[in-house]
Amino acid sequence: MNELQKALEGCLELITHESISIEEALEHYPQVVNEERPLLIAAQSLGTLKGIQPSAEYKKKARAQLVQRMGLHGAPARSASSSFEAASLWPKLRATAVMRTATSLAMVLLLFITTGTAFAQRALPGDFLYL
Amino acid sequence: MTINSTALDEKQLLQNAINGDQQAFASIYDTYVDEIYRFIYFRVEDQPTAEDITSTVFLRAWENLGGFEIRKAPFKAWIYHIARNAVIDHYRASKSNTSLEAIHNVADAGATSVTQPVETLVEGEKLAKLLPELTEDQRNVLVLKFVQGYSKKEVADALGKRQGAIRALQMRALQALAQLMEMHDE
Repeated sequence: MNELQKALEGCLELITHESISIEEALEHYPQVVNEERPLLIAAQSLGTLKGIQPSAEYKKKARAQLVQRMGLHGAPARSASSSFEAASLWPKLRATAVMRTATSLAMVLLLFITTGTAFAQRALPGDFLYL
Repeated sequence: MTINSTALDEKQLLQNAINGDQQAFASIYDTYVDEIYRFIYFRVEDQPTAEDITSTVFLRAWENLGGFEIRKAPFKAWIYHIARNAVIDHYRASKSNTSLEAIHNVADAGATSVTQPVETLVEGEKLAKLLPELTEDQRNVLVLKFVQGYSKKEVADALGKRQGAIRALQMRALQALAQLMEMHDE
């Protein structure tokens, strides 16, 4: 977190929890006052949008419709997620185990080839690894 | 009522709703309808569309409630996920690209429903016109954090991001909004 971000977090904390003004909060961070002030003003302005809400008429009508539809639809269907998860877990575990085995085998093969090549490079005519 | 007891009440309501109690779900609707509507309002073309999608979100939530696991995720995050998908579905269905002009018209149309004093309403209206100029992520973070009043963790849960990412996003979003506000003031 950089200095600006720290100051922003600090100021927002102070404004929200200590209920102090933007200018009072900025006094705690004098080094970034000019950069932080517009951000805090923007943040505070967003609070004005809290007033946007659906009309009481809509809420009442939509609630009644929802209750009616819930009645038609019946109780929410129980998800078979737990049994599904259990059922789908085994192939995942099996795939993981296969991947691990394959990776181990590949590592052993790589090690064998590397050491074999190293020994072959030092081999002299007549030696086992001399080709 | 303390926050903990409210959370417990909500858990109880959710459990009852999962068991088929329609009144319990209607109470959950009462709790969330305003904020879900607001969340959708900033993304769609007009007030009636926001209302339609809000209704769809709660119906979908009821239909899928059986698959919701209280211990796994907060209900808030779950319902916001449904809301985000419902908005995406709306745009897919209408195949409309939201033009800046269209969004500006939304703000104008929506202003009539704002229950705020006149001075605040004008300020809110101006601001509502600026929000669509931000990126989707920036707008989501600002709306959830500063309009809905969510904690950073709640914002992170609702948007499926890490708290560190939310901090950085919030910073960039406020910088972008402050710049827009300055430009429009000139």
